[in-house]
Amino acid sequence: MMDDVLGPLTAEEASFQEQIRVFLEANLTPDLRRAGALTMWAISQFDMSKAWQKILHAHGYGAVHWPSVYGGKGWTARQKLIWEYENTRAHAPKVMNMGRDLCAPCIMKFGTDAQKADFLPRILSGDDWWAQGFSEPNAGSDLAALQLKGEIGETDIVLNGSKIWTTFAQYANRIFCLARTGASPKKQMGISFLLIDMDTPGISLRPIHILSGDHEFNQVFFDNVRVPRSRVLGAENDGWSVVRYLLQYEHGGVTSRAMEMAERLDWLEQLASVEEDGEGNSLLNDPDFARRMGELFIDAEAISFAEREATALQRSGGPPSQLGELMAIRSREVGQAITELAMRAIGRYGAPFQKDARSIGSGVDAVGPDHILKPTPFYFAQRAATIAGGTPDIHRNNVAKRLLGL
Amino acid sequence: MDFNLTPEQASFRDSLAKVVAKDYSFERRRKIIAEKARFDKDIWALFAEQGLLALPFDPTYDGLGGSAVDMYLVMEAFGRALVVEPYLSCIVMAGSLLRHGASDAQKADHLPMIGRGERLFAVACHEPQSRYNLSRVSTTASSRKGGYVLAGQKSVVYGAPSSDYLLVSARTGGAAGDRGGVSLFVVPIGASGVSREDYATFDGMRASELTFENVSVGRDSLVGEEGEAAPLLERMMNEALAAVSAELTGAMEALNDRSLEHCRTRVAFEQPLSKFQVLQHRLVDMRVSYEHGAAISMAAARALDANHAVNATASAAMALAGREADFVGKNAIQLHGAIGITEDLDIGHYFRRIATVRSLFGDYDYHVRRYLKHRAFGGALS
Repeated sequence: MMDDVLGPLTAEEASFQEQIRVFLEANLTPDLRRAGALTMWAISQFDMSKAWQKILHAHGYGAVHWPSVYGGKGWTARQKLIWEYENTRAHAPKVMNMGRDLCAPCIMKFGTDAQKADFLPRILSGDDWWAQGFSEPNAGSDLAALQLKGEIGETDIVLNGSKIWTTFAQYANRIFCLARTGASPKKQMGISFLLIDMDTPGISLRPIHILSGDHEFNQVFFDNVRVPRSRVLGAENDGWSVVRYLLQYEHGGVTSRAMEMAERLDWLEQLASVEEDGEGNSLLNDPDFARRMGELFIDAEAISFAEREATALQRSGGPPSQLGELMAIRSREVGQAITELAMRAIGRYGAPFQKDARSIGSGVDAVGPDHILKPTPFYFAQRAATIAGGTPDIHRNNVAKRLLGL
Repeated sequence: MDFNLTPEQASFRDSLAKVVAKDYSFERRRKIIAEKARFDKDIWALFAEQGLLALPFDPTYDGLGGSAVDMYLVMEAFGRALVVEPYLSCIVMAGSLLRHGASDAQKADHLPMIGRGERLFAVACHEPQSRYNLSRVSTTASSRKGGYVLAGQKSVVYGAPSSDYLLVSARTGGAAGDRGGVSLFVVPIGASGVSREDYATFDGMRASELTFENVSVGRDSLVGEEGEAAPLLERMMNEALAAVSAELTGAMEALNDRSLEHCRTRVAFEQPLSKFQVLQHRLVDMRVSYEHGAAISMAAARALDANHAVNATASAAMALAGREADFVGKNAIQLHGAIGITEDLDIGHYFRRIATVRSLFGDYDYHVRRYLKHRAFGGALS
């Protein structure tokens, strides 16, 4: 399936691809590849992904999507796609990306010169790791309902309240947060976008383990935390403008869904080809299993074609498709269904809980064959695909309003 | 769906939409299907004039050399308008067999006439027991001096009532079900020994049951090599599946437009239906279905043009477009309420065509199986 994702390459593209392959081949150690392959949710094991970011930066690939003025590559959409394709294929670790892919574009757009100078280079070099403080116990998909209280004083804003579902906050040294700093009849107003150091006195964490067993989330508490007013991004009380800009990046797909799906399907096919059906034959000969797999491949072919066509359309100067959010409703479902079938593929070995064995460097041996380590926690972790970044029903609301005009 | 089309294709798509909107209203269609023939000669002449009947043929035979993508665009427009004239059976299917299998002389004889709308063909390749397997052929063609004698039966032959010629599959060797030994013949519809029972179909079209008794045809009526018709029939079926998926896509688009419009205007419990969130979500899901079906159908057209993974992609298209159209059709009826299940409204006619097409060309289960067969997971396995 992965073979079909890129479509035909021009000679220039092929040589670009070769250059990326050479770099990855030379720099991805077996441990790094294993970390990439065992990624459960958006980010690989942190120490591995951190090490990889350092390597990327040392070779000028720290933030290929950024404009070149900030140290990016200024590549075309097609080159970025090839980059991502080769990284996916080689199982490069997925780097903790909230700083690089979400916060940085906002700093570039709304930041002061000082903020740009202070933060952007350290994101690029892998010295700073940002967490995203958006959701709260009473504000999930309805983000603007947030209540983290920020009192604006002479020089500082004093924060009280908490953020939750904060991915990898235990590794972050910075966090970008939304806080309610002003009163307004409209709940989207009166919010400020803050750039905060995690070691500021008054910040504490409560770890939250997700179904895969991983310490993925945290609740972050703010108890009289003083943030200098120079750390507001954009205008005070106008953080929603920044959020709207950021959400384009979060929803607009930094990643290619088709590629993610193709990689998963290749993996599923491989899993099924080493598993047996209990009668001495390959699981691929089980008609029910093969059929379910075929259905997912067919769905993926449609999704993949739609994405290729939309990319090609934009490349040839056509209007950007408004359909990304719509198509994501389906592709998220299909992506989850693949992980579900993968768990079914490994049969009884779906049961062992082996969080330590899949942690690189733990020295703990795995029970059973190596290929059984991923499917179950992957299936569990991927339930988040229809929660993070808005539930399908939120997306349906958006599409009904914006695309269907209801 | 926004496809990446060439400027010519994009303007072709627009002009097709205009042609069917202007000349193939639901009212006109209603009149056409109320007539026994269910074939409007003026419409067929208009299609000829627009170049649609000559579209897939080679310029050598007065054709336009159109691609599978071009054919997609025609079928999409026809799906929107629920065109009942036998474009699919004559131009797409018979056209495919002649383009890929016929001799130069046969092409020169038939293709220009077909392109001008002066001659019609139908494909008589399914039998009562064959279901979707075009190699399951019991009709026989026995070699005689100077030609063959055909005997057997063909079922649900679309377009036969209005056609001048048939393309008939018959066995010159092997047993029913063997890929080898199937041959293809051009037979005039009025040939001695051909008897026909014509009837109406649920989708507003016409078909026939055909019996061949001692039908003598000359050697020159053979299309392609003797016993080698299976690949031709397979190619034809793939082109038909891509075309019919495109047609389903057009039907879905029309159903979605009609449903949206209905929900905006129909008031219940003091507000338009479109204000109910549960119905908004249903409309979004119908749109998702359309986009999904359109994507895989166009993928099939492009696969045909690139001659890459044609079997698997054509079946993927039919499986998905059929499944999605079924979902859209059912929900469109549901949103319209009682009038949705009457013959008075176009909604039900789309639904009939969707259901019929799945019977004629294979349902979801059949095409998932065919996809699996050609996709061959695990390489040598299965």
